[in-house]
Amino acid sequence: MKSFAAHALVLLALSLGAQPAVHAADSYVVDPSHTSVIFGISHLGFSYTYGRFNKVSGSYVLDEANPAASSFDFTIETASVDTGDAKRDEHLRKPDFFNANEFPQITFKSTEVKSEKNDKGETIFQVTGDLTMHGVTRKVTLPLRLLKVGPGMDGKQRSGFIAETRLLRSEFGMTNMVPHIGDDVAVTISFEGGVQ
Amino acid sequence: MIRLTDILLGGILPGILAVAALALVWKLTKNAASSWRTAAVLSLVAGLWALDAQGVGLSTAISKSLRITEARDFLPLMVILAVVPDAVATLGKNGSIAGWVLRIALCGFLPWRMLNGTKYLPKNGPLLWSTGEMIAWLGGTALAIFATWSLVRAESTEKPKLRSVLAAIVALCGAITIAMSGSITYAQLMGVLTATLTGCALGTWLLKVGRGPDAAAGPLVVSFGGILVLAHFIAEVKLLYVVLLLVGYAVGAGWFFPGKKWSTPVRCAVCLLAISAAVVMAGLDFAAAQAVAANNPYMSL
Repeated sequence: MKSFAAHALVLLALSLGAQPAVHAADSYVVDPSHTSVIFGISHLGFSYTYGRFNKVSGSYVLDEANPAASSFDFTIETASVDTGDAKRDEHLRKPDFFNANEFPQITFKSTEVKSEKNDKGETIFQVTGDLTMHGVTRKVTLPLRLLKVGPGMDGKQRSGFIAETRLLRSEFGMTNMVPHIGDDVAVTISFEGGVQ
Repeated sequence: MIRLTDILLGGILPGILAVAALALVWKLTKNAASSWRTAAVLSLVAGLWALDAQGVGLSTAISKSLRITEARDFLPLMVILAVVPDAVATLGKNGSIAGWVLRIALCGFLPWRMLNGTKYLPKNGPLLWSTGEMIAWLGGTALAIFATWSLVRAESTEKPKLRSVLAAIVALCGAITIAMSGSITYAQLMGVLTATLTGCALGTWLLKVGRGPDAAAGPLVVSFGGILVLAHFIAEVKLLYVVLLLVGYAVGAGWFFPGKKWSTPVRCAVCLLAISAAVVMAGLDFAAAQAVAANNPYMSL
């Protein structure tokens, strides 16, 4: 009887081990045409000027069941800055601001991902990582709100996020014209990706 | 936008420091070379750090010269390093050979270091230049800086006061050209060099020191060349303007047929013509851009 019980336990353990994982991490590639990186900055205190970066690429791994296994990796082409004013964009690319020839890319690589629910029950991924801009790397945390996971128009799985945060450009060595052109920059990032 | 503090920290401070250091070392040693080198290095490094300190604080500005993030952070270290070859060259025949080797090495290192990690020499990602283009650009830039350094070093007796003044005027025109080409940041760096050269020129006039920019050729040419490298490759100042400024500096501050009757007037004419051409053409570009952007609200900045 004891021997039968032992065999049954071994079989049970083996059968459980052979079950496929219920929640696997999914790898996504960022869809540039449905990705926006937008910033707003004070102009002499009179108004806010908004701009965006037109060339963003990246990939991410999303594991809702085990957020720590998730990761995010983005690259922005600095020269793609676009504020709707060619003259200003030219100046923004120069060494007085982004210095695009010297620092052609802005990158973000996550180092830690946690998730939580907000008051509305939405999932927020607190993504901490290294943001490198203007040659300076600093730890930042992006509160990525998961908007949707599901099939896209082509039937393949997609997921999408939005995050709003604030950065001090002086912390990245961009001190020119502070405080006339604001130091505090509001940043909104929204992206979606298709599963690889 | 250049503020009053920029002028005080990047102009007045290094200018006063240059006069004071030159006067002090001259009074103590009566050595013109030491006076110029001390004044040039102290003034340049203090001015560069003071400008940077406005945004990040003095300790960070100093530490940035060792933990380099932007190419321009490397300038203070290059200025200090550039003293070594000319100092070594004074140590007899072997010292002279070592001095030449160090000068060549430093001139080769300067453009490579300034552009390392930029879009021209990226640490990763696609290369902008072919190998041939890379050798041509880096080698050509190094050769131009080395030639300027050699020409400036080669002239130690002829018209030191005049050469000091011409060098300061060239740097001032360099600052104006770069500013009109769209980079206030690099124009400010050239402003520090202008203040240094002006202070040294003033000290030379007042104290009858008897040497000119040749006495501190290393730090002055390396800083001038380094800023021009940044101006052209990073801030996209036109190559023609950069070449004209370099020619202006070499002719104004360096060897130019000493002993010939026509040397001084032709030196002044060639130098002033070259730098005037750079300023006028950059001014015309600026005016054209302003005209196009006449109704552009961004220009109200």
